Amino acid sequence: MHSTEQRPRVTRPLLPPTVCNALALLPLCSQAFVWDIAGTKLVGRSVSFTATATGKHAVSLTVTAPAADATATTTTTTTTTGSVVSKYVRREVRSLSDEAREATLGAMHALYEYDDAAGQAKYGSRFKSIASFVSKHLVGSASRDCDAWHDGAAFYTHHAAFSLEFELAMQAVDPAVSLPYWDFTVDAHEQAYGDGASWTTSDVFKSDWFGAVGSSRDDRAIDTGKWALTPVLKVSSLAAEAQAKYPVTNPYGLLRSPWNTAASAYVTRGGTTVAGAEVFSGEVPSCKAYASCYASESMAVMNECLNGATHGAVHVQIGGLWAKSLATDSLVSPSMSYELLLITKNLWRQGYVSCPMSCTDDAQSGATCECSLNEAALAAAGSAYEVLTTKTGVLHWVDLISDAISFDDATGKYAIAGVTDPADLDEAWEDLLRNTLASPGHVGEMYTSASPYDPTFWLLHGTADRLVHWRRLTSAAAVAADLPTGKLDTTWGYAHSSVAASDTNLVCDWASVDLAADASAVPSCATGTCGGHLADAVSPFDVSGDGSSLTNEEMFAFLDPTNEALTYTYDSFAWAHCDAEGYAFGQQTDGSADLSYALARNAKATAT
Amino acid sequence: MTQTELFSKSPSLAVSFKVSTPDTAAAAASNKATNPSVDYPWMLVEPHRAANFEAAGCDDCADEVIAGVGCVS
Repeated sequence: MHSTEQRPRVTRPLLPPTVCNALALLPLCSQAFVWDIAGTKLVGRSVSFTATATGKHAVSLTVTAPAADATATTTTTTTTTGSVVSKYVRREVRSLSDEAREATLGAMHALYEYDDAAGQAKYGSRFKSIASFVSKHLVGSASRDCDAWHDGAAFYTHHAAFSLEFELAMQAVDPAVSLPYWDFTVDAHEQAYGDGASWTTSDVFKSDWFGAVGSSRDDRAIDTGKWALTPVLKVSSLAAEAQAKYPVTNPYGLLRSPWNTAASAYVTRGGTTVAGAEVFSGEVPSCKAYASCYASESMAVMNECLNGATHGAVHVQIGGLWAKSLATDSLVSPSMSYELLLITKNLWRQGYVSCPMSCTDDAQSGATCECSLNEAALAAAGSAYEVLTTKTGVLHWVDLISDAISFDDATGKYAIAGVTDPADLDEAWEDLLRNTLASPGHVGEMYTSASPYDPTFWLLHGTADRLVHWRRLTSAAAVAADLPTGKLDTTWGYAHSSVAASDTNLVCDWASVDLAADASAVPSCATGTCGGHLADAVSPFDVSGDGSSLTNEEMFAFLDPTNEALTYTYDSFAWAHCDAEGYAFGQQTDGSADLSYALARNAKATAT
Repeated sequence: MTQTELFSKSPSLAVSFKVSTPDTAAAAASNKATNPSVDYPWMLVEPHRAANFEAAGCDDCADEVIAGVGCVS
């Protein structure tokens, strides 16, 4: 543990303290004060000023002292200059007053009410509709070659910048609001150490806030709250010219992931059960996850836990999964079946799962509109086992979530407990591939690449971004104090996970695939970095409002919490409930941050 | 030494200013997560929320600074 002297303090550099010495003893109460704050002239020792713009504002204070004594005729004037920085403060959603929350939700909801043209006509050019946000996320995440937004080095910058674009659009509607965040570690804390109530009972899901987790409707559409029955854009019903703006849809022409064959016309929220089993342990990321992620010594490592451990479970549990078929003996327990979606997406990207290009509305039962095994590709591969191993490698991920499957070092092959006959084994692998893995089922928006449709999406990434802000601030303090630990290596990169089924680190080249000419054709897939995650790739976000573009690395620099041009900050970098659990990674009441604590705990957790 | 005498030796003044945003403090105080105040790396104001600017000077001095000199208001 560091001594107090070694604990970095993150404090603002105050203006030079007032020095009451022999040079300045005239009391302020006897002087006159004229302010110039961002061009606004104000008079008085204490004045009120309301900034309308973000950024750095110059401040000058001119003080006029009276004549030194009754016989003198001159006055003395002195001007002090300085500056303030104007930033929006993002607050925990539950800390907002009723009035502020209503204003915030109102601005957010306006993005769901108007399309781009109508919204921009009403609110100006910074307005963007929710459909444009969803489409942007779909284009980046649901491309068949790779995912340019997740499981890679640009995860953090993309989602922080995306949230900022959304906040800027909200501020086009109401310039006084900011994007709130939901610190679900508070709910995890209460669930574990408080009254034991599930996080699903959080205020966040009140009917007049974001609506309940889950739905009582057959189609799992959100059916409570301000976002009840929020329509999903029917792209196929738009004029051809307008359709070009939304290049990724599902088979029904809905603005939804292409592999998600849900036909509901509304944004869905399936809830915490997946294929009939509760997801995970019914918990959201906790202080432990945040402390561990905070202890990252490089941004490459931190990116991975930001991508997964610090918020991913919330996506899965709110989104949910249903209409999911499993083989009679699926080899995977229902409680782990949420992972199957990620494996199915791997097979889809690698060409062994095909999804319909279009479905008619009368197939809304889903029975005739679902993704399926590419039988021609299977035939060309020779066997299901070949597809699962040599061709795609996905059996590795199934093995991780199956008690029945194991890898036999002696034979160098996977085995299934209790199945020894080669013919039975072949049949079991094919059953797994065709009946468990080929169709993802129907998936709630939050667990898909159309997740921005669910308004709770916009509460999550600020929660993780806040941790990054704090980590960068404490790193800067550690650098300034030249401490042996606590510095964050910001070299661009990503520490790929060996256990996340979504993290394949593969790029598949579909350019040469012509399924019309050869139904068995599959793309060439190779280990590599998806283009959108490269350091010098153009970050697809306009966060400055002037249309200029930044590279990913430049975006990371822009998002630095000490950047005066960054338009937002957070209300707090303290996690008092985590302190109470023994995870004291946040700002302490004396303003310090004990980096050694989290680092030591992380090392211990790794060792065990 | 009187105040006038001191002042007459040097006309310079030592005045700075401080900024407070009451709304931020109120929001933090009501936060159920019990957040202490944040020390930002700059003097912060929020768009569309009033901030109070106050000159800080001699009569705000800490006792130890003015001890023996006097700071008459």
